[in-house]
Amino acid sequence: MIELLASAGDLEKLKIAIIYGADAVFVGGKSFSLRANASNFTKEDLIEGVKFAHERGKKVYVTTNVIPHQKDKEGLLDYLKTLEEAQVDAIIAASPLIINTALKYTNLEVHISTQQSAINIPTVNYWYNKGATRVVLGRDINLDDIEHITKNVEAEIEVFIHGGMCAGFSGRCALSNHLTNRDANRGGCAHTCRWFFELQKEGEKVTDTPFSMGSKDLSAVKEVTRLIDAGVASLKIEGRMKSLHYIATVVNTYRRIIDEYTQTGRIENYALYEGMLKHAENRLTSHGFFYGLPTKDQQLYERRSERVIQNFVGLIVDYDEKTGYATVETKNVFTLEELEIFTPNAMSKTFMNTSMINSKGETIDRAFRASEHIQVHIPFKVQPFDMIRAKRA
Amino acid sequence: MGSFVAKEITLEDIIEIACLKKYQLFYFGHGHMSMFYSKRQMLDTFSDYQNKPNTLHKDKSLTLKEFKRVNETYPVLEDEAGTHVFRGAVFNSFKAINELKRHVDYFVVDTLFLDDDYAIKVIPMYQKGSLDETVLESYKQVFHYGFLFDESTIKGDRND
Repeated sequence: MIELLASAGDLEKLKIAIIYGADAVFVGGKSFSLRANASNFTKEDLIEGVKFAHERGKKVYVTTNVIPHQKDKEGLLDYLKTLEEAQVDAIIAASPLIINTALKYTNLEVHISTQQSAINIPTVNYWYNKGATRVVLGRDINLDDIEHITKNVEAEIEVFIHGGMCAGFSGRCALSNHLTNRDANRGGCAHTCRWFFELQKEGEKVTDTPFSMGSKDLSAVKEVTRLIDAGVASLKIEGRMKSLHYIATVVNTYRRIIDEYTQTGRIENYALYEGMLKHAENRLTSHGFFYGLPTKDQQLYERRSERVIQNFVGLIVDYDEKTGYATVETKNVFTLEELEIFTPNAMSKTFMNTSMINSKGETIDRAFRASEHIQVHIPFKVQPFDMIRAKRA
Repeated sequence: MGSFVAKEITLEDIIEIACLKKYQLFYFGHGHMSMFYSKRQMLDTFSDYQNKPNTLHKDKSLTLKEFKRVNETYPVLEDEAGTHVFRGAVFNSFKAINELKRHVDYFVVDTLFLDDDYAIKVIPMYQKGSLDETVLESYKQVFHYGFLFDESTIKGDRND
């Protein structure tokens, strides 16, 4: 059975990813992780997260994918031992130092990070023969190559299917280092490739159109079935910096695609899934390298595509079937308006919000305080971790 | 056997690594530093985006200017392998050459975007251990020391 692997920036996101359909979650610890600005997990968080996952038959991988400088080596083995004690299911690593230390001195399973840009069979076999069980392929190859590699290696193959793309070869970019002094390969990437530049020839401006190296995000809604058929072991959703709602939406969309395909052998309606993803999409998406070298349609020019989506307005904490009131943790402002319940195992259901009571017991018609626990009347049963979305555009 | 040590680390780290090395050590010590390499044909897609034919392929006279960093432009080159972006200021190791001589086995001068005559002028300076600015005046280069004395950070918003 193919694995759906999702990212999680903190413990709550880990739980959401699993509840919404991930088979495994990858997280960053407090050290050796490439997302220095993500929340990242303490040892206690890791232990709780692993327990939560294992109780549900799911897995937790920890990214240790920095390229350490000399002084960064300090504490490496102790940290790996901590991960071992927390019973994480694997580490994801790029540096030979970290890979070799884990293989030699711990029982940790090792997955090779996309930062190694493995895009051919000898490279995959090299790491497999060293002791790694899985290789995350570089994002710079097409579907034919992914299929060819997967069918001709012993290692498990993991492929990115959704999220941000490096414009350059992963792990080979130092733009951020040079232009901001932030080390891209130690967790400080400033996404310099998404900046705008003036293109010049012999010092003179070539065009008024700003040049950018930025790539659209990857989205593989229509490619998942082929990756399943190819024998890929794991499909990866990137985004440790993303929100609860983003993770839930993207994970649940791919969960449903995988389930429909494995149960029926076909996908009836791709538009349904593309529509689901629109709830979370905050950057333009495309298919990356899956059909060959990217064209202009996979690049981003002139405008930043991020848009803020504020339709996720509340998270269900509890539901009282006798009164019909749900305890809701507020996430964004909402009123007595049409709302939608997004739930992992059924289609979304809408209702008209007719009654709300704030944390002081007062009747309100507008919920505007973030993270307040309020009561919302919902005319059908809901469950903890269901999400409330506003239906407004 | 030998190995290049990375360009993005400090002199202190280079020396520490060199003291522990089991193989001969190579070091890129002078030239336009590569910052970025992509498989994408970015000048081709950029031309296509503007509905223009790509006349920029393999053109070595192209540079990028970032709007907040007006004192330096960055050479950009597209070839069959993809797209490459370099520092415009020239990396040099003059201040560190005596230490490097003691620890590095091969010191590499990269002449991409430069010519053989330039290499003939620069290499003796490293052999002698001193920079002769008058010799290089005709090239009108701006120099930098990369990360030799200024380690990159991990977090923060410095220079953002």
